[in-house]
Amino acid sequence: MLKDSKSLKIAKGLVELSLNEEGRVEPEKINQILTELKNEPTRRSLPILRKFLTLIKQQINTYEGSLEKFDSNADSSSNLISDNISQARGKKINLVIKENKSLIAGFRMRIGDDVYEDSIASRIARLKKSLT
Amino acid sequence: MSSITDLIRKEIENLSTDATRTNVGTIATLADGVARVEGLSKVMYNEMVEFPNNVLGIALNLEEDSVGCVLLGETSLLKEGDEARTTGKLLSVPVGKGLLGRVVDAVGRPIDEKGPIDSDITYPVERIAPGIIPRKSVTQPLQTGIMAVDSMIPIGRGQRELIIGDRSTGKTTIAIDTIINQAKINKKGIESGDADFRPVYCIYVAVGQKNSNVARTIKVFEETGAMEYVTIVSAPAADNPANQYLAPYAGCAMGEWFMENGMDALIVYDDLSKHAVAYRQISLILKRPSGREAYPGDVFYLHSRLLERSARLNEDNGNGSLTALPIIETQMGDVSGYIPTNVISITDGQIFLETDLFNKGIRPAVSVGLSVSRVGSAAQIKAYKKVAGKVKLELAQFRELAAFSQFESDLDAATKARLDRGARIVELFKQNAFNPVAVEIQTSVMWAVQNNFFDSIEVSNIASSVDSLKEYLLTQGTEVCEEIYKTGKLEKETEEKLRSALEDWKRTQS
Ligand SMILES: Nc1ncnc2c1ncn2[C@@H]1O[C@H](COP(=O)(O)OP(=O)(O)O)[C@@H](O)[C@H]1O
Ligand SMILES: [Mg+2]
Repeated sequence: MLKDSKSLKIAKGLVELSLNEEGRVEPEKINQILTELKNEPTRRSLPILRKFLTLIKQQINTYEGSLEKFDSNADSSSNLISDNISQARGKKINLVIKENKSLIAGFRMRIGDDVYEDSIASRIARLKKSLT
Repeated sequence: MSSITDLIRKEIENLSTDATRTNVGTIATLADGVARVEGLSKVMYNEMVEFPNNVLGIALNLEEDSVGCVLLGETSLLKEGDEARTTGKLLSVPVGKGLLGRVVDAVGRPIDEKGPIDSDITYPVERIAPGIIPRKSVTQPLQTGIMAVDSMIPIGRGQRELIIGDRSTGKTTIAIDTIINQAKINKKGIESGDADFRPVYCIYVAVGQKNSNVARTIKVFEETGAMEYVTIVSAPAADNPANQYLAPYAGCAMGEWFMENGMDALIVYDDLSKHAVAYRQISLILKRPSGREAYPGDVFYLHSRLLERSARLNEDNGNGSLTALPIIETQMGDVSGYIPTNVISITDGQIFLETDLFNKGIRPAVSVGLSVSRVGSAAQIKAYKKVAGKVKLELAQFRELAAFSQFESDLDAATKARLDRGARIVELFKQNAFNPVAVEIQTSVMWAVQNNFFDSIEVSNIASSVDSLKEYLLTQGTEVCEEIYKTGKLEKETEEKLRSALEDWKRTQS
C-alpha cells in the first residue's frame, strides 16, 4: 500500500475550509464540502473522505473532551477542572460530562489521546498491579 | 498475617495521589502479532505500550495518524477496538548474576521451571553503545579451546567475531565449544584462588531455532557442567517474530551488565540470519517499504547497533568487556548475500566454515583462506604466538601446493617437506565436538609439530598420536603445562623442559 500523500494534502485543505475563526469545526461548512464532493465524485473521493474524517476528529479533539464522574450532577468541581485544563492548554476546552459508576469516586477526563485520571477505580487497579 | 496487611498498607502509602496522565489509542487492525493503533499521539519510538489482559507491545512505527506496535505475549486475547496506553517506559529485562544457569524468554521471563529469577536490577533492551572514549583496544585473549581457531584466528575479549557458513557445518558447535571452554577455565581459575583471575560469563541467544535444538544445547551445557556460567535466551521458531526480533537485544543487555560492572562476558547470537528474517516479517506487516531481498532499509542498523554494544572498556570505566560471536547461515557458501555482507562489515573478522571440508571429515571445517581475526592477535598469549605465528601461512601454502602437486610426480625436497608438514597440521586441527583443549596443551602440541616430533608418524596416525600426546601432557606433563599457563610465555628453560617431556612421550610411542 503506497502512502496516498495527495489525498492527504487535499483532505488537509478541506479541513482548513471547514474551520471558523476560532479554529472550531463549522457543521455548515462541512455540509457544503460534502455536497461538493458528492456532485463531483472522483477516483480519490473515498480516501479523501477517510482522511478528512480522521483529521476532523483530531481537530475536534483539540477543544472538546469528556469528563467522566461517578455522579454527573455534582457540578462545582467540573467547572474547576474545565477551567484548569483550558488554562493549561491555552484555549477554551469544552468538556462533555458523563456518568460512570465504575469509577467509585474521582474523575476521568479524556481530551484527544490524553487521559487524566484520578479515581478510586484506577488506584485499586494500580494497587492490584503492584501486588502481583 | 500482619506482614501482609503491612505490605498492602505500604503499597497504599506509596501510591501517588496525583492524577495520572496517560496517552491512549484504540486498536484499528490486528494481524500477525502486529497491532495498528489509532491515537497514541505522544508515544515514543520503542516505548512499551500496554494492552488489556496484560499484553505488552512495542511502538515501532510512528506514523501521522497511527502507530504500529509489535505484540509480545498472547495476541489472541486482544481484539480490534481495545484500548492501548503508553507506559512511559522502554522495554527492560532483568540482569545480574541471578540469571546464570537459567533459561529465559525474549523479555527475561524464566521458562525453565526453576522458579522466579533472582534479580532486582533491570536494563533497557535498547541502549546506546559505548562511544570511543571509554573503549580500549583488545588485549586479553578469549580462548575458544578449538585449536584451529586459537592458533590461526585468535579472539580477544571485547572482539566481535562472526561465525559464518552453510547449514550444518558446525557453526553452533564452535560457539558451544567456546562456552564450554570458558566454564572449564572459570572453574580452574576460581579454584586456583588467583585474585586477578577474570572469569568469562556466557549468554547464548537462540533465535528462530527448533525447540529440540535448543533443548539439545541446554543438555550439552548441563552435561559438561557449563550451565552454572551460562544464561540462555530463547526465542524459538514457533515464537512470534516480535520475540525473535527482541531476543538478541535482551541478551545483549544481560551481557552489558557484566561489562559495566567490570566483568567479562561472552555472548553468542545463534543466528542473526533468522533474526533478520523475523525483522523482515515484522517490517512487511508494518508495511514499511522494502529493498534488497525484501529487507527494510534499516536492516544494517538492526545489526550494527546490536554488535556495537560489544566492547572492551578501559580501566577508568571498570575494565569490563563483552565479546560477541554472532552466527550467520549462508546459502550454498554465498557470502555476498545482503545480510552476510552487512555483518561481515560490522564485525572484527570471521570464522568461515566450508561444507566441502566438513564432508571430507576436516572438522571443525574452518577455511584457512577466508577466515580472519582483525584484532585478536594482539591478545594471543606470547607462548602460543611464538609457535603458531606461521601456521596460517604454512597451511595456506599447503592448500595451494597440494592442488598443484596432484599433477606432479617428482617434487623437490623443500616442497615435499612443506606438503608433509601441512598434511600433519590439517590432521592436528581435527577436533571432536564438545571437546575444547586448554591453551597450554594446544601450545605444547603445536610446539611438538613445529619441532619435528610428528615427522616420523604416518599422516593417518596423526590424530591418534595427538590424542595420546594430549593425554600424556594432562597426566605426566602437567608441570611444564602449568608453567606455560601461569606465565603465558615460552622461555628457553620452559622449552627445554617441554622437549624432554616430549621425548619421554615419544619413547612410549614405539
Ligand atoms: N568438530 C566436529 N566433529 C564432529 N562432528 C561435528 C563437529 N562439529 C559439528 N559436528 C556435527 O555436525 C552437525 C552439525 O553441527 P551444528 O553445529 O549444529 O551445525 P550448524 O550450526 O552449522 O547448523 C552436528 O550433528 C554436530 O554434532
Ligand atoms: Mg546451528
